[in-house]
Amino acid sequence: MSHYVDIETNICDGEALVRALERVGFKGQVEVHEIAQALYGYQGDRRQQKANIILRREHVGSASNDIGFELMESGRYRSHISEFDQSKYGQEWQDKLNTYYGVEKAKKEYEVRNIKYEEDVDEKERPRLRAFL
Amino acid sequence: MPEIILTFEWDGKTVKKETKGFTGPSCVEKTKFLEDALGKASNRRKKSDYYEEKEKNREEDRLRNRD
Repeated sequence: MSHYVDIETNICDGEALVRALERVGFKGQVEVHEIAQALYGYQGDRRQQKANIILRREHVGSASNDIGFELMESGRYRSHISEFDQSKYGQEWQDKLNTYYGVEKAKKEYEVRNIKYEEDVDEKERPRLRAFL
Repeated sequence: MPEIILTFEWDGKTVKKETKGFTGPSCVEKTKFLEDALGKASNRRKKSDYYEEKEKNREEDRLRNRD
């Protein structure tokens, strides 16, 4: 049984997190729960970890465990990713997710304020947002 | 038209914010919501138009004092 690695992130906006997860390949595969739900291991075993935003194991990969993001009292999300899945969803994947979270969070802030924006990438292929006030 | 350009590094932590077309401290005030949403600013560098506007204000003040 692969243990979970639990990390408190700087992510605090669930909607922007869902959008970011969709951008890294989980479009239409993200579960959102107001009350945290149990995560399950690759054999269907219920794990002690719970999460509000969940990628079920069938979407994560063969022999994978659920990946979850649990809303903490601090207002931030804690990620639960098993040791087994760290090989594919390790630091590099989490950095990419955090980058897209930033992009989606900024886009949300613009949308709330009716600020027009365009998204593209710069010469180094980094995501870029141009907003016009 | 004032413009905000955000460039996101792939480290998931660093966002470069550049502003164009703002004058004086208004760019700091009008983009504060982004810092609130994305995290605190560090290594803030003011562009020349920030100082140009301050210089202009000082010049206007001087002209008024002369009257």
